[in-house]
Amino acid sequence: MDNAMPSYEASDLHIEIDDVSLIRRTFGPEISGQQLAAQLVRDLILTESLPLSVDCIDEWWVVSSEKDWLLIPSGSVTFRSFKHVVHFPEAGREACHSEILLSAFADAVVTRGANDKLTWITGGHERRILPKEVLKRLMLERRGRTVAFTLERDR
Amino acid sequence: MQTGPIGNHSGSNLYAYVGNDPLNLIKPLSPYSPSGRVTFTLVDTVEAILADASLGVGVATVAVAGAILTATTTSTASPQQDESQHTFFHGTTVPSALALLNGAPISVSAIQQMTLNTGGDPAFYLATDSNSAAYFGSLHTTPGTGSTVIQYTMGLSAVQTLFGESATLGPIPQLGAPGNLPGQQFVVPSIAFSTFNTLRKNGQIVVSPFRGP
Repeated sequence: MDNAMPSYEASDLHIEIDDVSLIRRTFGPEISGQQLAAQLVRDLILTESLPLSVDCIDEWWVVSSEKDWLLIPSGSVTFRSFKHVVHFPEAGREACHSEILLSAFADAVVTRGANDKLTWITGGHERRILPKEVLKRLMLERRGRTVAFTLERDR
Repeated sequence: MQTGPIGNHSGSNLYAYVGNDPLNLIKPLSPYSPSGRVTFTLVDTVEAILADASLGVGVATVAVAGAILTATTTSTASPQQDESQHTFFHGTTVPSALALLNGAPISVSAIQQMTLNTGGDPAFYLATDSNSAAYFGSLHTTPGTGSTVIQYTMGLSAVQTLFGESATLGPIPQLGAPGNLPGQQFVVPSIAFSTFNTLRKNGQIVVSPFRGP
């Protein structure tokens, strides 16, 4: 039998636009702060964003590099890897950049580069009081890029 | 109950790998059932087989196919009409999904376009878990443009035919993914594309949109 093919349109599809929710559904329910930091460090090593440092200060993970790894060739900074699944084949065929994991599983994420202001990626108002030492890392040390995040369940 | 028509390979007991009870280890897959039809999943049974390290995957594939076919054919008078259905998911871009839904055959060139030339095998990948398929879809879509999941429903005879053409069902390798991807993958190698397209054309594989988790 030669079945007649149906005619589908885009309106017939469920289009996935919330990648953060997708990541939670797929890899949740929980990933520890240690695992998140390790994933991000993997990316930085593979993109040669060195030297880098990782610290856990007052229950906040702070990952810094001398290189601003969010800088794109046009000279601007992009935060798209915090919002979308961005393929990262250098880390494996099914790998994505790890920033979206922070958006999906951390309770608060904040970042600052050498040439941009402090940006909160996620986190409620109550989380916006940063420990003094973390604030110092973000505001005074002025490294290429610093990302700080915390998880409620790690507390 | 008899063993399936594929026979009893290597002198082993096909049902040992499903606890000697193939019927009870196949469970309904109700959330994704086509209307009015009962569907079953291969996953639990295959997982049980793959857990036995003494078996190769090829043997496991043959064994499970035989076990399930036996379970099905002994419970139905007309396998063509009543055979169990299996649902797999494929995540991809919206244009690619529409092309596949509207009848485009799978081909090596189309697969290479879809997978961003990452050097993977030119195979067609389906997942038993819709979230895993959605992750793959997002991974191979320009960020922010949206991806979608389509579902492939096929009867046991179609699954068996594809197994016979070197298709495999097994765990999803992590390959850099942020964690273990749920479910299993059904991999249709390029040598089976022609058969896959014929099964689709004959209505033995039905493709439809997946409406979301």
